[in-house]
Amino acid sequence: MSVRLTLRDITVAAPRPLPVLLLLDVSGSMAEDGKLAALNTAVRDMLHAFAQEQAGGAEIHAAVLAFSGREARVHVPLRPARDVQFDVLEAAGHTPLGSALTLTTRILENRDLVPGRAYRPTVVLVSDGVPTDEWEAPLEALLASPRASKAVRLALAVGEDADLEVLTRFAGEAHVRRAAEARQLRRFFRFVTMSVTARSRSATPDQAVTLPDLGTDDGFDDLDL
Amino acid sequence: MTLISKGHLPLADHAFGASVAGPAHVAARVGNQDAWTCTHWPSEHGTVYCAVVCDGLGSRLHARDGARAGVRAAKQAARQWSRAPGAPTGLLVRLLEVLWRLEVAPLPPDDCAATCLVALAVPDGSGRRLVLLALGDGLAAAETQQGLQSVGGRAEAEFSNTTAALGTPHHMNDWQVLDLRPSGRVRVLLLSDGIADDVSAQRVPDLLTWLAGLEGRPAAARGQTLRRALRQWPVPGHSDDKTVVYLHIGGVGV
Repeated sequence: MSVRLTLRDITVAAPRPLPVLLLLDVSGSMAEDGKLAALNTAVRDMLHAFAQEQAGGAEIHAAVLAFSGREARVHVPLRPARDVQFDVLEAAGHTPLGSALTLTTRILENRDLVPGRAYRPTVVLVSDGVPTDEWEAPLEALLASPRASKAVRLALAVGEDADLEVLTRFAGEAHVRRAAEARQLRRFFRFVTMSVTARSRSATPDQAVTLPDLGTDDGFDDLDL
Repeated sequence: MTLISKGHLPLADHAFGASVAGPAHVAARVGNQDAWTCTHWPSEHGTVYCAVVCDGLGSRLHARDGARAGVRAAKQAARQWSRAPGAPTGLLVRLLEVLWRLEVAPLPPDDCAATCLVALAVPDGSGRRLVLLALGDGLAAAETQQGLQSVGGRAEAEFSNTTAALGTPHHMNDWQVLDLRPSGRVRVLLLSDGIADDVSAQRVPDLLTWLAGLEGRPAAARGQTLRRALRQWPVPGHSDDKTVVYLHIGGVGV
């Protein structure tokens, strides 16, 4: 007896992914002035919001890449946000940005991790310092790679010591902001969260992203970066 | 024995298609930005079959106009090109590109950007010539005695909704072309990316089989079934417009 095919048998069972990669500097200096605590809170809230997003459309997938010590590591592997378990990050050591960029390129070029039917990924780089490894060649490799170069790239400089020029070369001037206080860091992450969730529901999820102004430090925030 | 007859659609041939607006466009009260046709006309040596699917890029202001213009341009180009036996496919592509720009004028081409799939079957001696063209991320496939061959689909370096299209900067060699001379039965499938992205290459023959199962139904019921199936697309979170065209030439008795 032949069984009649249905479209459910023929089509893929998963929604189209909308990948978000967070590249987070967790070098020793992030432990100062409450920066790491603010970052952990903002990332946790973002991942929680992504996990709650059930409006249909694209499925948000998230990964957290942490860089400190000698090289970057995958803190949370790329997976549907609802399946993400986030353990707080700890800060120590140097700022191996080049290693983080190489890892990012490797992930975005991997069609098993990021299939062709995925929407354009978003990569968010957060750093408070100056790279301590060779980063220019890995950045050029990312910008020249066929798939990784097409990602939406956003960057946040945390505090006054962050190398704005490096972040600008990564994301372009229009896609870099500086957070001098915890509230601005939270505002940046809230904006990225809203932007990604709006894209996941949109008829045109690959529309350009415009970063807002993060506001000024009015001296009334709970943490001083 | 061939069932192709001059000026008539032979009994054994089937051609149908359907297109529906995706849930995202329905929710936003935006019209379907895909367009399609499946037509035939008589020629000196038999019947010419032409199928077209165009998908207006969702981010463009006049995507719907661009897709419709693509269908008109492809049909005009196919009619003209099919009158010149043995003409190179490059001429068909160039003609289509020029006619599309004339069709969208005076709108800026970039505001009308659309992907384009064409299948053209032209009588050629005792057999036929089958040309498949694809610019962008839809899929055009043909099943012949030589097996399944296809053009289009998502390029290696692309993500969803990033694609080459009429009206965007591209080279002539961004057009993927299959120029076949099949004998016997031919089945052709054109899919906009709203469907093609959700059907793996290994499953395309199954989709052909599923569509072949609709061949025997009356046209009205078949169209209704097909549109309902596309509206109730089983992939979670699907949002795109969806268009499919199916063409079966030289069926029973060939």
